[in-house]
Amino acid sequence: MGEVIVVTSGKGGVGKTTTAANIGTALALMERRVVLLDADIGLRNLDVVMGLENRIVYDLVDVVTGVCRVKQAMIKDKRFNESLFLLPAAQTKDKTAVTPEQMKKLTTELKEEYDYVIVDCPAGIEQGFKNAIAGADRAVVVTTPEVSAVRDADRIIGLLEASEMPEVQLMINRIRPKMVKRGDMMDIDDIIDILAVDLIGVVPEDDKIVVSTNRGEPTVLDANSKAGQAYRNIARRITGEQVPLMPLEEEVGFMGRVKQLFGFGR
Amino acid sequence: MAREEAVFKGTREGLLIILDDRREFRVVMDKLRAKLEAARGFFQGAQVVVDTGSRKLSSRQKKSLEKLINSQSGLKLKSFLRGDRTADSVAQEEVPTPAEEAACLPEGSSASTEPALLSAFGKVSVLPTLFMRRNLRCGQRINFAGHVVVFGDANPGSEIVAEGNVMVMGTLRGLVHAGAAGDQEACVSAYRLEPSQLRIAGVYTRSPDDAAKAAGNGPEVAYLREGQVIIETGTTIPALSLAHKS
Repeated sequence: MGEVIVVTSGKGGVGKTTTAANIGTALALMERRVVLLDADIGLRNLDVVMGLENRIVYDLVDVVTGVCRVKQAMIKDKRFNESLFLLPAAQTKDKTAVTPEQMKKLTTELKEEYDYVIVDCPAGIEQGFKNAIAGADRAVVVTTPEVSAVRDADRIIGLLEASEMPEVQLMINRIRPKMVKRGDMMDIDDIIDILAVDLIGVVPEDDKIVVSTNRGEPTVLDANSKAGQAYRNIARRITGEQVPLMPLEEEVGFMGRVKQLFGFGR
Repeated sequence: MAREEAVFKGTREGLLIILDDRREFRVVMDKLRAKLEAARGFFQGAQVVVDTGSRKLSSRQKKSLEKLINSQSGLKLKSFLRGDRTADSVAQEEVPTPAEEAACLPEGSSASTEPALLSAFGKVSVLPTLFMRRNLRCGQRINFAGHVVVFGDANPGSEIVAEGNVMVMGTLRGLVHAGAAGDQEACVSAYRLEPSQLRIAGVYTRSPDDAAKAAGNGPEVAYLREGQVIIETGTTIPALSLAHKS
């Protein structure tokens, strides 16, 4: 029996889709069987981030309305041997095309067969959000170190608590260690102090995310990417492994120290 | 003071509505409707007892009163009370001696605000209390005709509106309004008091812009003195300093 994990945030643009794609891919790399489910009907882009857009035939709405079987709509990611599937959202419908009951039925069915069902939740707190969380066993709330994103995350956590979500964890995205150090950015403790939920991981700002998103290759496939490493750690924590938070400060080697001494430090 | 057509009083058991028995029923009903409308959403989950004074209601009048009160979200008409303090229940439920409830209210206390009692301990406030053992998060709102105690934090973007006092055993960062029905004696206390806006009765204040830095560690209490909000820090025991106030 698998687990349904919804990736949500309230605010748009904080990295829900990127997070869903990377956590899903990282779990698949660990040889777990994973379904990525895009619940953002009308504004789908998980398929784009995964580079699977041109293979869509059927979508989520087709499945719940009985136009096709679940298996027909699932897109197998050929990079991973039978372990990563995408169930894309419909692009021409809107959030009301699906009900929370239908979503719950679908995710219950999917977790019978797969280890993880990762649901990419749309921004906002309306119908789309209610659909996305309906069948979830666990929620990962994504926020960035900005007051507005933290405020929305707080709102979302309140709604998740009210709907009795069994487990709610926080992921802080796009943190910039140097800005935190200068006191120009909220640090992890400030955010946890307000939100008062468990932290599942911290992902640093990384230019490679932009490149990999545009190419349709999740960053976790890049061994040199800091963000990719952070996402791999989060995936391991999801499976129950104890993984310490990775140090965000880059190691300063001898040459770095010399540079800093002469004022060339980055 | 001219007698009002419909007077609201908070009691331990809920809301007591006293209807003037010397005016025409239709006039009283209109006034009550207007008052309920104005207080929409304020009396969440309150049980209502209606005191009709010496007026004897016909069953049709009772029906229309019941319909009016139950149409307000969260209100439920529990029983009628007549001037002679005999209750007749609306539903067939047990009514916990409304005569006693009414006796808790000091004579002449006007509106719904301050059922304060003089007891062996001096002046105490006996409003109903809402106790919450969790964090109040952004977008969540408490609106309560009594005291509110939060065992947790009240985060930015949350709202607590209480007719009585507000106490937060954690950090208060949201909006808070104590004495919302006009009680000037109401106070707000918190383990860390950093509200975005603090209101007591009709006085509104906001935290200074550098509040986070200025805020001391430890509990603080805010109350009104001569129309000004005073913040008492944790160096003195808040409860004592409050007692000295009066």
